[in-house]
Amino acid sequence: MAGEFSDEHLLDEFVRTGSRGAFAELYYRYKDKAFNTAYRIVGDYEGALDVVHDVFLKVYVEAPGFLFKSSFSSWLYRIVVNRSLDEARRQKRRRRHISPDAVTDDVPSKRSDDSPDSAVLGREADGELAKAVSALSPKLKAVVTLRYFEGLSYEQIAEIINRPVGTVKSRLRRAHRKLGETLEAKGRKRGAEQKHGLLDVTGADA
Amino acid sequence: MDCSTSQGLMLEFVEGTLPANLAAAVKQHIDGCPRCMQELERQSSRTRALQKLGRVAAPDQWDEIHRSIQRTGWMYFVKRYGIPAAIFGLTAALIFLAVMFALSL
Repeated sequence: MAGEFSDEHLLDEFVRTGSRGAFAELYYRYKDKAFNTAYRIVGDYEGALDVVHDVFLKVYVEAPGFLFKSSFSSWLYRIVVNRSLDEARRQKRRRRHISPDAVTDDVPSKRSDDSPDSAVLGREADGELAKAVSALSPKLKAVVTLRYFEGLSYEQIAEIINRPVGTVKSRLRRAHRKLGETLEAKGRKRGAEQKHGLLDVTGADA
Repeated sequence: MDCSTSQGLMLEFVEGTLPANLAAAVKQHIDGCPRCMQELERQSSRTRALQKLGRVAAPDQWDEIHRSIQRTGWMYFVKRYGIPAAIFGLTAALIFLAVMFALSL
């Protein structure tokens, strides 16, 4: 029944009457979007869960101050992106603090084979592309996630990250360039390994 | 149009967000430029692949969030009614408790 109402109507009802039902409906409408966005930016399943928890708590507390100048979804995505960028920074600092030798770049923390993360990657049609995305900087991951996974327009993304549309486009171009370089380098490496393997086999035969 | 301009507009060309006149100019250049054509093919396939990457169903955290909300309900009251109202409410509650305590003696 609540599905008939707009997000803004539900938020308004929650603010006016304190209806937990209205707030729960908003949570169930957006939990997948919030989780997937956070997961892509943070690159870690547990970290994404923390982000979603904090985001909805913030929405609950800040809702009375929401002025309806933007849509509820833009506001929610803004909180998700900002909290995810904080979490990504926090995890990077922690990894450096724990083991400086283990840190190479922004690649998400190591996962076991049966972790939910590898299950996600395993379901993806192109695991290499997913890994290349996870190696982007958190800011580039944010625009790639909002554009290609969430399907938002340049203008919506600009509103969410509070930057001009030109910045969104330039970050997307940079992300494409980096993805192209990473995939090309992997392709070259794989080619060289195959060539090496072939030479080894030939050498063994000789 | 040169290669640099064409490749600068490639993102929007691939995503179909370029104005018609610019899109026509980019297409004209690409049709006669093998290097830009190759870049167009790469970027198009990468964009399609990105759009197809999987999503995951988020676990249900409602109970946990709901518990946290119950613990931070006072913050909601402060945000909604403002700090003066919160101070007033707290003072009234303290006075009420003090009166009840005095009456019980």
